[in-house]
Amino acid sequence: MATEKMELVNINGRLDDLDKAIGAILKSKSFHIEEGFSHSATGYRQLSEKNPYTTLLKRFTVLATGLGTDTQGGDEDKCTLVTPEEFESLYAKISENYDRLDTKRAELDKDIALRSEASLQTSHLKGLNEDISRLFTLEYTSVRFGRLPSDNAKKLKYFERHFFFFPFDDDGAYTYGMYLCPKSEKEETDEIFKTLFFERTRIPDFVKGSALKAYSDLQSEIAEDKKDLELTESQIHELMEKYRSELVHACAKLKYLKGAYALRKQAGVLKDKFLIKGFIPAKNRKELEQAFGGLTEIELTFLPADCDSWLTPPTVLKNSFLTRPFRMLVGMYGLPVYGGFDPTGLVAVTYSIMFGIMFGDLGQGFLVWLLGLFLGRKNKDLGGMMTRCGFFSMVFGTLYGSVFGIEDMLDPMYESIGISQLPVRAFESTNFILFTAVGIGIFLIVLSMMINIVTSFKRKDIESAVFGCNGICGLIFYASIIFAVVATVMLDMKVMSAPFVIFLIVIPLICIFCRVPFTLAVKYKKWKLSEHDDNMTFGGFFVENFFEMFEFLLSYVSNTMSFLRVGGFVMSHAGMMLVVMTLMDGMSKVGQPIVFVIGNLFVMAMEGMIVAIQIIRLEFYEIFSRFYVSGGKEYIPVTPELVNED
Amino acid sequence: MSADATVAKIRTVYGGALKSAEYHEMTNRQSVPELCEYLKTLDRYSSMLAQVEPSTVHRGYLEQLIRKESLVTYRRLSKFQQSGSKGFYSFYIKKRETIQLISFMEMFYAGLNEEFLASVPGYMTEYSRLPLLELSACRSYDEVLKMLRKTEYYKPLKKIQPGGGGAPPLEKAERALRVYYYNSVLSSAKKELSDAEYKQIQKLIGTDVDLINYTNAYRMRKYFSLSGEEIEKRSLPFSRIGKQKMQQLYQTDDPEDMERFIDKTIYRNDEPDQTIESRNTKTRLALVRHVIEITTSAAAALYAYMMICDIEAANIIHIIEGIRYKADLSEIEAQLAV
Repeated sequence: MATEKMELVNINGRLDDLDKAIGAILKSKSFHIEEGFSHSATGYRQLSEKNPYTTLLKRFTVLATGLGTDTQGGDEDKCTLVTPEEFESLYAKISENYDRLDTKRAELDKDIALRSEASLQTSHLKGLNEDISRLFTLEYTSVRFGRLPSDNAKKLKYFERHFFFFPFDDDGAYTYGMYLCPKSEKEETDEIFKTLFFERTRIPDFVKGSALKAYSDLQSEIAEDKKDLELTESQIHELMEKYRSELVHACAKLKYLKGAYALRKQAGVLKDKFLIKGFIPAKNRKELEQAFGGLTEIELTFLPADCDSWLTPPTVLKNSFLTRPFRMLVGMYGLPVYGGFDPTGLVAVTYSIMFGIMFGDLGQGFLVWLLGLFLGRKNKDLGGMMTRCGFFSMVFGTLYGSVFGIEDMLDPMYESIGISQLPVRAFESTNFILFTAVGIGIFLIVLSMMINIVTSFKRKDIESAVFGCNGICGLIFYASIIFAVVATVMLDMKVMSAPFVIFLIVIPLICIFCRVPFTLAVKYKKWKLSEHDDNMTFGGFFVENFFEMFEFLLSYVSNTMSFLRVGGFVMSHAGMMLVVMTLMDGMSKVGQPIVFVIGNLFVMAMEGMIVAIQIIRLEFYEIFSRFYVSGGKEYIPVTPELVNED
Repeated sequence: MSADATVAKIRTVYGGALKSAEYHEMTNRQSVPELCEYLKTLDRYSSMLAQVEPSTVHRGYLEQLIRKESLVTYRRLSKFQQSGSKGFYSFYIKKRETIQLISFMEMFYAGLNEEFLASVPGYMTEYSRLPLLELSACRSYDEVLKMLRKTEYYKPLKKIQPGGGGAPPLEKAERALRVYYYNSVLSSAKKELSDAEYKQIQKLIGTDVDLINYTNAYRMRKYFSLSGEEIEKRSLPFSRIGKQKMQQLYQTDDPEDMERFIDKTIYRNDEPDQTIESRNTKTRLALVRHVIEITTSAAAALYAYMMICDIEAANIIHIIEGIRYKADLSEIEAQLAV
C-alpha cells in the first residue's frame, strides 16, 4: 500500500540539442517535467523566446476554416515537415490558390448582398414610375439609396446640414430610404451618413426605366452571381479535397511542435548549456535510457527522488487490478504525499464490502455489475468500482435471500441444501444487524488508528503516533472503553477495577491532553506548553486542550455510532422494496410487472446513489481523517498526447 | 424576487458566457463578415444580430450591437429582480451614461459636436433619460450645464466650474464624472443594501478602480515620466487594497518596480508576455468570477456579471480590430481575457 518509487532525473546537454532532448522525453512518455531554472539550479535562467509555431498554427487553422475543413484527426507522424520555413512554403502553396478563390467568393458575396439590397430598395420604389436612372443624372443634386440602423435614423434631425432623408420602410432594426443633398456637399454628407453606419445600396448603372423593370433586372443579375458563387465554392471544395490530408496532418504536426517547443520554457539555460529536471517512476528508467539511446552528447543523471529539497516528487499510486478503480476516490480526497501510505487497497475492500452489506440484493447487484461492465468502456474507474460493488451486493443479497426485493425467492435453494432458516433477515434480525454495523465501525476505527500509528512512526511524528487521539494512547483508551462497555453490558463481566481505569483510561487521557508538552519533552528534552508560542500560559493551555479533549471524546462516540447507517440501510432497502411489493399487490395483473420493474429501478437508482455517497462519507470522515496525510503532487508525464492538447 | 433566485439566474446566464473555444473559433476567421457570420450562430448574439447582413455590416455598427447586447442582458436581469431602474440597480445605465458624457466632453472640448452626435449609440436614447442627442447643439459649458440641469450629473459638473464661469479643464470634468459615478453607486448601495452586500460592492468597485489606476499609472510613468504626486492627482479615490498601498505604487521608481510591487498584492499576474491592459483585464476577470461563484447577493452578482459582459464585449472588439488590421491572430488570442 505504498506509492510507486520515483527517481529524480537531471538531463544536461548543449543548448543546440535541447529539441532532441525534448523529443526523447516525449518519446519515453513517462517523464514528469519540473522547472530546470528553480532555486536548486543556481545560475540557470528560463529561456525567453517566441514560439515560432504558434503563429503558423493559427495561420494554418484560419486557412483550414476558410477552406471549410476542421483540423481534427490529423496524424503528426504523416507530416514530414519540421522547420517553420518548410511549413511556410506549404502554406504559400495552398494559400496562393485559395486567396484568389476566396477573394472572388468575397466579392461575389458582397455583390449578391449589394444587389439584393438594391433589389429590396427598388421593391420599395415600385410605385415610382419615373425612370430611376434620371435620379442619378440630376445636375445639382446627389442621390444615395441604402439603409441605416433605425436607432441612428433618429439622429438625422439634429444635423444642421443641407440634406433630406426620405424613409421608405422600417423593419425595426433598419430604416430603408434615400437621401438627397447638393452635389457641392456630397462628400461631407456621405461622411456623416457613413458615421451613422449607412449601408449604401448601389443601384447599378445599367438599371434604367421604372422601378419595376430595375427590380427584375436585378433579380436576374443576382441569379447569375449565385451561379458564379456556386462554381467558386466548388473550386474551393476541390482545393480543400486536394490538400485536406496534407493540411490536417500539418496542423497536427504544428500542434505537436508548438507544444514541444513550449516545453523549452521548462529548461534552465546557462550560457550554451541546458538543464532539464524531472521525475520518472524507477521502473521506467530503462525506457527513458532507450529513448535517449542515440543521443550520446546528452547526459542523464539518475538521483534519489528526495535528494533535491526544492522539488517535491510526484505521487504515483501503486495498485493491483482489483483495487485500481478506487484510486478515483482517493484522488478526490487528495493524493498521499510521496512515500506516504496509499489507502486505495483499504478503500477498495471496505467500500465494496460496505456497499454489499447496505445494498444486498442478488438481482439488483447483478444489474449494477452489468451497468459497471457497460460504463467501464467509457470510464474505467467508475465501471470498475461498479462491477466490484455489484459483485459484493450479489454476495450479500444471496446471504439475505433477497432477489429484486423478493425476500423468500432463494428459500427453496437453501432448503435443498439443508438450511431452513437464513441467519440474516432484515426485519427479523434488527438488533443483530445494528450491532454488527457498530462492530464493523469499531473494527475499522481501530484499524485506522493502527495504520496511523505505523505511518506516524514512519514520518517520525511522535505526537501523532504516541500521544495523539489516534495514536497509541488513543487506541488504548478507545479499545478499553469498548471492551468495558461490551464486557459490562453484554457479557455481564465486572472489569472496571481501579488499575483498569487508571492505566487504560485515565493515563491515556492525560497523555492525549498533554500531547504537545509530552512530545516536546521527548523530542527536545525540554518542558514547554506550546511548540510555537513561548508565551502560552497554563490557563490558556488548559482551556484550549479542554475543548479539544471534549471534541476528541465526542468524536469517538459519534464516529462509532456513525456506522449504524450501515445497518440502517440494510433495513431501509428491505423497507423500500416492501413498499414496492405492497403497491404491486394493489395493481391488476397487467400493472404488477410494470410496478415491479419501475419500483426496482427507482430503488436501485435512489438507494444505490445514497449508499454510494454515504460510504464515501464514512471513508472520508470516519476512516481517512484518522491517518491520511494528503497533499501529494499529481504525476503528469509529458506525452505527445498531452502536448497536443494545448 | 428573492435574491437567491436572481443569483441562480445570473449564474445560469454566466454559464452561457463565451468560452475559450468560442474565442478560438473567432480568431480563426480572417474577415469581419466571417466573424459576424460566426457570431450570428452563437446563442449569446444570435437574436441581436438576426437582421444584420454580414457582408455589408459596418464594423462600427457591429461593435455597437455587441455592446448593446450587454445592456439588453442587464435590463433583462434587473427586470427579473423586479428592481426597477432606480437606486442601486440603475448602476449599469449610469455607467453607460457616464461613458457617453465623457465622450461628449472630449468631443465638445475639441469642437467636434457633430462627431459626437454620430458616435453616440442610437439605442442609448431608449435606455437613458439624458438629452444625449440635444447635447450636440451646446456651444458653451454653460449651455451644457443648462441642458443637464435636471439630471444628477449637473451638480458634479457645476461644482468644478471655475468661479468666473467658463469651462473647467477637460481632465477635471472627466475625473468629476467618474468619481461621481462610483460615489453614487456606493451611496445607493449603502442606503438600499445590507452591510455585507455593500462591502461586496465596495470590494468590486475597489478592484475595478485599483486596476484602472494601476494601468493609468503604469502608462503615465512609462510614456510620460510623470511623478508620483502627479499620478496620484489624476487617480480615482477608491481602492480595495488601500490608498496607502496605491500611493506606494505611484511612488515606485519605474514601471518594472510597479510590476514587482503589484506582484505582492492580490493583483499578481503570472503572464509576463502580455500587455499591461491584457494582464489587468485577466486579473479583473479572475477576481470578478470568484465573486459570482461565491456570492449570495443579487446586487453583487449582477454588478460582477456586468463587469464580465464588458470584458467579453472588449474581447470581441479586440478580435474585430485584430482582423481589420491584419494583426497576428495568435497574438490577439493570447491577449484575450478568457
